[in-house]
Amino acid sequence: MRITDGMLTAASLASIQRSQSRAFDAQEQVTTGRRINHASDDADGAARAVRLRGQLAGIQRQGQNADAATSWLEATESALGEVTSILQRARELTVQAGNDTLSATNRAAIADEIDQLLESVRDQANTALDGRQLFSGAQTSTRPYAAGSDGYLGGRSGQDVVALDIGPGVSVQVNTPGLALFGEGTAAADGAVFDTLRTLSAEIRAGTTPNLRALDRNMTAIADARAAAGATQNRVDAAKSRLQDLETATTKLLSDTEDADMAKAILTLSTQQSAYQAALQSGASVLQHPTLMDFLK
Amino acid sequence: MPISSFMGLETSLRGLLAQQRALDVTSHNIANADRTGYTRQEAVMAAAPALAVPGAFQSGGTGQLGQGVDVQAYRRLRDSFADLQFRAASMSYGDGATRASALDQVDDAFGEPSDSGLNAALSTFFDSWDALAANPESSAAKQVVVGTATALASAFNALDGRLAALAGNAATEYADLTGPNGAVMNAAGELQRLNVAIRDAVQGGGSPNDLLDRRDEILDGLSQLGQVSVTDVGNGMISVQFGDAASPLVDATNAVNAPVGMTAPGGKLGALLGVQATIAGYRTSLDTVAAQLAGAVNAAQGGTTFFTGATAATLAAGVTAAGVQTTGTGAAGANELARAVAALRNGAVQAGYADLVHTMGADAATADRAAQTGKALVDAADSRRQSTNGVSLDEEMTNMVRFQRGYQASARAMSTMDEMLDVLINRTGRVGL
Repeated sequence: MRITDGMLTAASLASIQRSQSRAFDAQEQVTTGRRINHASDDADGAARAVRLRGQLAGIQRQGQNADAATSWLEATESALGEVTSILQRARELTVQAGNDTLSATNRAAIADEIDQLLESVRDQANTALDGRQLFSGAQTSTRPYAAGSDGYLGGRSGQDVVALDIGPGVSVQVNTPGLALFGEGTAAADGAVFDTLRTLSAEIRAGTTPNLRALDRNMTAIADARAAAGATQNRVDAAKSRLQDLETATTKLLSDTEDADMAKAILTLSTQQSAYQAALQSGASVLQHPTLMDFLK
Repeated sequence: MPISSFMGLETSLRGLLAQQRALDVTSHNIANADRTGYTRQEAVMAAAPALAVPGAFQSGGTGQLGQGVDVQAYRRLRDSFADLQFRAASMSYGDGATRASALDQVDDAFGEPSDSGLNAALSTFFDSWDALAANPESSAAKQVVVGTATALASAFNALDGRLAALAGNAATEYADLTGPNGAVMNAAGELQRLNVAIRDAVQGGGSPNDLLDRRDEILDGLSQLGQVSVTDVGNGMISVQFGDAASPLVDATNAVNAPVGMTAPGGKLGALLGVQATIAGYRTSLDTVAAQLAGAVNAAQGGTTFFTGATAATLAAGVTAAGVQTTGTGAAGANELARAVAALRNGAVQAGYADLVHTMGADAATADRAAQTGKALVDAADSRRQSTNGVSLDEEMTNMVRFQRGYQASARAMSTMDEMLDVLINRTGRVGL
């Protein structure tokens, strides 16, 4: 093949440009630390990265939801724990009041204390977490048992569930409906906590033998509710740790997908830089190569 | 028949002149060595017609006495097949490079994967709904939902706007190139003038090498813009069919016709048309994603119009914070509608968008590869062509020495002849003086 001067210069320019462009790509990977800087770098990888980023955002957000669920459940459990202690005290007082030797004054004192305990239960039933009522069903802005009126004001059937999503397709009910535990409040003979305490107080004051069965039933119900909240908490904890595993795995997958293998990228960069230098050197010598002219006298 | 005593002088003179012309051509080649589009030339030398000398030999036969050398033509060393190959490669390179550059800009417009693209805006939007579900009483959380929805809608609007602008740029560039003062019509006008000049030269018996170079250069330039096919119509004139235009750009009567109504012209112009269609496809897909988002969110919001508009360009948040629905039950702490929207996360909307990014990325990568391959092919075709028509300085130096020696030798022959005549004219008949 006949070689001409134009071919030599064009070829060396083309090879210099090619190596420069490869060195540029390698440099971009090293400086950004990412293998995929544009969707065109790897279309499959880019689409996967887009999906993984969406999933990762969801996982992180659901982790925050799990934390919110934990706050609800812990506050509920602590309030119900308080209620249990109060009912315990009410039971002791009731047993004490069953002693026939007590005078009417003593019984009245016990009845007064039970009335006070009822108010304490009301305080617990009105517990709010960050301004949100725990035992009011979904009517979280309404105090379920307002002082004075005493009747249940919170959400009833259809408005009694507060749920949170704590994982892909996983949701838990975080609230414990107060109506079932504490009852309607005012004068309703529903056998719930308020009714029971009010009945006990009246019975003690009147001198009739107080009936403990209702109170025991209430205590069992509260204990069951605590156990249920605890069980939900366990689910939330499990979901939370699953989310953490998932976050780790997804982050790793995302990194594998779009991040550059730095060792490899740096090696490639220095290889490409050497290649570029070599292309420049050979280009320089091609451009200044001697011709016959240099030897003709 | 006697032969003139001075014939030898004439023969030497022919030699001197021919070598001088050849040196002229060599220096023309050297002067144009680094000019693109130049085709090297050579002086074609051939023996001058011999002089018939009857009775030159004892046998009585007619002798043929050579009369030296003449320059017959100045030949242009060009391989027209290499031209065809170069133009085909140049056309596909024009297509690939234009497409790659346009789709690179589309790729930049999407800007995925990143923390700031549409995908991130979608995640932020769903995050705000999850936050609202965890805090349904909070009007601040509702305000955040409206804020992220507005940001998401603007992200859709902006991306669609960028895509529309890029398609518009391609359309404008196409119109500029094919318009009355565009590159195509300018080339056509010049081809027309060159055709006339070449015809005149050819009819005058000349070989207008440098005009032919210029015409080939223009055809090379045109071939990058679109498909070029050349037909020789005689007298050195050509007609040129460009792209898939109905009438030839330069027809057999050397009239210029504007390239109108092209649908697949090939080359850069073909890419400019193709890119517009490709971008229109992306915009349709983006519209589908936007419509899906608006439809799904509005449905999850219990039929209230949370998003207005069902295309990427018109999507907008249609509610104030007070209009954000968390529940249909009326209870402040209920969150089923907020959760319903949050549950759309990683659903059809994001999958549709990821698919769009995939399609776009794959198209851009294919175009990039095509541009690189096209560049390599053009370089190879150009190199093959240069191999025939390029100037090699070593070769020219060799020729220069060759012709210089030839000139010297002819001059020497002439001096010898001169001395011979000197003997004949000045010394003959002076014996003994």
